[in-house]
Amino acid sequence: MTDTLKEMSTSRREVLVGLAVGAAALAGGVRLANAADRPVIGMIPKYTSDPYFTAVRKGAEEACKELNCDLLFDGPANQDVTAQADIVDRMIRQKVSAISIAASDPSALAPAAKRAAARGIKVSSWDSDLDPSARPVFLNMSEFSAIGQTIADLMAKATDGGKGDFLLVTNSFTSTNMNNWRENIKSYAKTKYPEMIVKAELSGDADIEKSKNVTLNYLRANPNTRGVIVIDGNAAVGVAEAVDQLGLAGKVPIAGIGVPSTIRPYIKSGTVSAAVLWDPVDLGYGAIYISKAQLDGKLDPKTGFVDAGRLGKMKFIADDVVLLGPPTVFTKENIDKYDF
Amino acid sequence: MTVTTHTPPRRLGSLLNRSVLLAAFFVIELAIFGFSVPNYLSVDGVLDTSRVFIEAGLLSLGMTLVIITGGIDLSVAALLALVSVVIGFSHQAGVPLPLAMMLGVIVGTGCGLLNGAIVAYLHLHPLVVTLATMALFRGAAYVISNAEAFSSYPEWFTNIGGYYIAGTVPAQLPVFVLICVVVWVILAKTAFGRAIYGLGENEMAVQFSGVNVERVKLKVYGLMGLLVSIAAIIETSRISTSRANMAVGLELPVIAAVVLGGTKITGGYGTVTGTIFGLLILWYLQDGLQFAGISADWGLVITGAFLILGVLVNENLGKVRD
Repeated sequence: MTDTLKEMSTSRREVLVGLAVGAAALAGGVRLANAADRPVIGMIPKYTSDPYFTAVRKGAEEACKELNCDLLFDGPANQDVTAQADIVDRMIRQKVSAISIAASDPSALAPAAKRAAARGIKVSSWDSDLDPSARPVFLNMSEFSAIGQTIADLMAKATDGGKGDFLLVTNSFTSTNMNNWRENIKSYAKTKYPEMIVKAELSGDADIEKSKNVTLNYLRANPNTRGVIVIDGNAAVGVAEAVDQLGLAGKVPIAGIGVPSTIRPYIKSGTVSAAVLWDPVDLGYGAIYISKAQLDGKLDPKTGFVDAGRLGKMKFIADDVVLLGPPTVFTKENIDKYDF
Repeated sequence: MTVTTHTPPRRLGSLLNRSVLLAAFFVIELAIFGFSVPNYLSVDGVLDTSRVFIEAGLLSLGMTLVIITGGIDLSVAALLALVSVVIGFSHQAGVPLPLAMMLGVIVGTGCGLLNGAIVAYLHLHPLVVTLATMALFRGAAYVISNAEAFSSYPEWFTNIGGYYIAGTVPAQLPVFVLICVVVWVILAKTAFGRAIYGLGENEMAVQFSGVNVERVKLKVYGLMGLLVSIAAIIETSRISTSRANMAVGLELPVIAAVVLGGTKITGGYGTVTGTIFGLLILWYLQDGLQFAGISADWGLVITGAFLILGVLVNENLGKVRD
């Protein structure tokens, strides 16, 4: 081995020394986990590249501080089912006490979640559910029907009754919450606004650029489109840009899900007539309270609610589903009040 | 003026040194993580990480052979998704699962052979060819799956990627080790392997020595396709889902591992051992850092950094030789 080192060129030796020093420095700067008496709650968003999930993290950190727990927040940078499953497995090895996850795919994440549960880790889901067999409780931000109806109502208001062909843009055809909202919007519209036809459903894959492109292409090919319904925050921005680019702002209203920080300029300009969401900070906050209730053995659907600090009591709307609260509608008038 | 000759023993000799260095680096890396990150070093944990890199590992084995011939294959990740989708959606359409798996392997190997055929017989540069087939395969995956996912896999199938032998050893690990040995034997001990090195060094010379160069290339890319198919089965089983957007970008850490392991991107140099250590170093580094709480976002940064590092060291190696 020493012969090898001697034979080595200077530059090669330098590189190796640099590597060793770098590795040591990295190791030195690494956080050491805390003592075992503070529970570690692992929270996994769908992906980290969205201010929505950054807001969730803020709420989670707030709750963890109140509850004396440590938060381990980690997720893939972009929508990536495999990477999410890998993170679950890693958290199992890191011996977290609880895992709280927004699943990119309900069945793909189920085996990993079950592995965690088998090791005694408390599993719960929020935002986008796991397969029900893989978790005892799901925190729903808003009832799918409430969101679906609110969006349909907003679109109808913006288009004088909602008569015509509408485009619907989502972020995936596999996410549980996306699929539920789509179905709710359509079935509610069928009864309340029979002339509101969802003519096409496209996916922007949670990417602003892609959402913009699919909308541009569709609107160019279908100039009679009455309005665009969006059910994803990133899609909303892409769709708004597309509508602005085509000069159709106001003529083709946009309504649906929107995250204030990104949708604000379009709400103020009128391109987006109204946006619906719930407070993701509250979502993160509530999810941690649920995990803590699981850890303390206090999670019981029979009591009817979960104590959630400053949120008060979150209701059980089913044996395994807890409701965060009613949806919030953002309009020109109130959007400046929200900063996520 | 000196004339450099590249005789197998000398080449193997220098790379054996590199493999020793890589192995040492890997051990040091594990030790550093073991000492500074609590709970990290455990037999269970270290073996469990292998579940994550075995798919990339299979691709890296094939990629080593491809790069040694002086070529490259950028379509591997897209092909993995395509094979997975073929298996899932043909099964959904009624094909019994074992048959669907065979169909996936046929499609995967066939697409590999397609790459090989275009490169060998149409004499187009592998970079351009596999860039195009990357789009082709990924697009086909989206079309077949209609951007949806298929997840209804029976337990015997998910055990392929999810079962633990004796509770600790991932089921796919012995399979991976076996395949590593087979590929090593092919590369180091067969005429086919020598032809692969020859193609990377001096294709014309190999041709004049009577070897059917086109056939060799066809087989190399075809073998890549077969390895991708196996990786696809394992990954689909591990996450029990087939989706068109699986393994996006996986070709990057695969190539990084191969280059880090000592395979020169210009061809003619490389070993299976080097690639395996490159793979281990890269994946355990990301694993350890994420375990320590440094977020998953850094994964791509690390891959890029080590790819540059690997190329740099390779180049310096070359300069010393001459």
